[in-house]
Amino acid sequence: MTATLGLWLDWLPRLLGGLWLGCKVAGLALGFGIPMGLVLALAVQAKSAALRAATLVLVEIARGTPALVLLQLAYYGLPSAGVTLSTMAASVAALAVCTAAYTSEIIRGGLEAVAAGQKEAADALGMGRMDKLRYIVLPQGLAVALPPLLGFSITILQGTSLCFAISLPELISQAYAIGASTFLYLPALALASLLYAAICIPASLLVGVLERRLGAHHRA
Amino acid sequence: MTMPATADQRPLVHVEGLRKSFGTHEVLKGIDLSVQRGEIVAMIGPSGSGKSTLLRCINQLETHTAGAVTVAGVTIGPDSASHERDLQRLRRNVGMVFQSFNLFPHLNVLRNVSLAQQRVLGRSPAEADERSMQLLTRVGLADKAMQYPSRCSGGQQQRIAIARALALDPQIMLFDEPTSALDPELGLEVLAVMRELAEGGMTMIVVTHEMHFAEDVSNRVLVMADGEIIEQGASREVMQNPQTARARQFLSAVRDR
Amino acid sequence: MLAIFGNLVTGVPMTLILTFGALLIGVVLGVPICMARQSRHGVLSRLAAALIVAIRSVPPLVWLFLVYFGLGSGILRMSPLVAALSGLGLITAVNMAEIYRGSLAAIHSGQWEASQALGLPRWSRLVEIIGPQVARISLPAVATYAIGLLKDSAVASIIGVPELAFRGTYLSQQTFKGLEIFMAVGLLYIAMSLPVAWASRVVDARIRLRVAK
Repeated sequence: MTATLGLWLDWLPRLLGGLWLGCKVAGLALGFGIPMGLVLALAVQAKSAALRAATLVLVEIARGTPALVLLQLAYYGLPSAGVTLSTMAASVAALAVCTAAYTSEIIRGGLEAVAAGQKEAADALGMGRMDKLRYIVLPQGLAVALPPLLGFSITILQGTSLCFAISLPELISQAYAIGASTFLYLPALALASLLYAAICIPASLLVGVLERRLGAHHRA
Repeated sequence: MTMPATADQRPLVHVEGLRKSFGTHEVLKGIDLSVQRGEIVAMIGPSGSGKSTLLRCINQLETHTAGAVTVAGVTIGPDSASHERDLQRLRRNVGMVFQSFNLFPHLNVLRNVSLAQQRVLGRSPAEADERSMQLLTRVGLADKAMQYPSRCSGGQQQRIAIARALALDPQIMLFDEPTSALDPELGLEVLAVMRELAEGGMTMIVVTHEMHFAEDVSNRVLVMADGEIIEQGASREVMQNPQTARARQFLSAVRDR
Repeated sequence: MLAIFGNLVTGVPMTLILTFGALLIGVVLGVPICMARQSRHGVLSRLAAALIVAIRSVPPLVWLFLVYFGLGSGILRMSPLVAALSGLGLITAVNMAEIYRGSLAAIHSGQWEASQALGLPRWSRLVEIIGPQVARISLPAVATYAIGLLKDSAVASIIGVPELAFRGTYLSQQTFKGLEIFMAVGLLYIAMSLPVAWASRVVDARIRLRVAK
């Protein structure tokens, strides 16, 4: 037991480095992806039927493709089209596209949850579409969407583990490398699991608390 | 004899040949209506008669399938081939109060009343807040300014909603069953505010089940049934001496409750 | 392009085996886990809750690695397929338990009371009255999860299970036509999810007709 703990202490810096890289990738993917998701959520309700259709097709394709395949497309596929991305850039790009597609549905749901009466009141007051969106629909809609968005963020963090397949030196990649050189796969992977759990468990609990708090405030 | 109509004599609201269908179901079957400045019009009738739909067509929360709606000189044709800008011009002259109040829950009371003043009329925050406080005082709720709507009773929320609509200085106020969602006592406070508005000379169209209001405060009553105006006239006349059988049927049923 | 599809399609059966295999394991195992979670014994209930949270807090790929390399390199030797089915099955089981829990909460309390009043024994109540209703209410969520599982199964390619994503990886290494290959792989996954989405809507509609409120 103490032998294992000793090993863990030795490996910890390396694994934490990998975890930090994973967090950076997730953060960037969310930072690019969620705004894109908002744009898509608005585009899907646009007046132009062509825009609505194009957006829907785009979102369904990005959602229907496994994240792993998106990563492979970004890293191995794009070079054939003349775009060569580093493993970091490809990871961020693929996960950002994935984020945009999934969060567009989450945000759309949030926007639709805003009571119709709210939108009517804004219309009756003569507010323009941009003002209505900015002051009435978005603040309420995004508040509803926040817990699922945070939940999805945790999923994306877990998703960075897939970047192993395109050689990103993140957490699981480091653990696997240690396992491969020492044949101590189980302890190395176990430590990696604990590190993931250490972040994801508190994060999930926090999201749960947030959900309850937000629900109470909107009980008008 | 035709006289050139002066601005004062033209009706504030003019509805001509209005038809509205939801799919294959025709809800408004050719409505003609004129409302002069300063009139208080009450619309009564059984559920499903189209009263609310007609009201909502006036400020285009519903688009109509045939006919024209003119408010303060702005005309809107069928199926909203109209520009966003025309709609906004029309709505600037019309204030609306909803059955379910529809206050913005994420903003405090003061901001609820000030927001549209800033965004639609371009008033400065200071101007808007000052006007808001004036109106909130007028409806008796100045002390609620910093609170959130969820902390106010239904009657208070509706009075705030009235203040919010008045803040834009509309030429006409539309009320869509303003007291139907309220307990009778809370409804009284709202009716008192509406009565005061009427006495101040505001033009009002009120869809209501409050027969006392219809008889005492309004000067004209419209009875609707099955998508048509079946009777209209001076309020006391219509309420006490309905001419058509259908109107008589409705009024006696209501009075018997 | 046609040749690419022809090659990739050979991986589809394995993807389906993974998906439905894991789903089956999960749907079945989810029941005891859910029952433990709902148990009146505080210890059991908390243990089950902890298990559910723990399993969901670790990425699927890590579970697969733990099972295949962690257990598989020493204690238990197993094929990639078995490892993948175990890992995915476990994750599915835990998610199913949560879905069942949600469905149980949605069942009108009157159902429990009526069956108690009728004097039905506890086991019979669960199996004949509550169980079928949980199954019915859970169906849409399970179908949605199944579509997600179909995509998640791609992770098995990393430990060498010869399913669709694996075929794509292998082919791209052979021919360097990465763009076309991975686009084709994506399209195949989308195509596979369509019948499931359609079937789920049909079944859901049919159930709604039978159980008109």
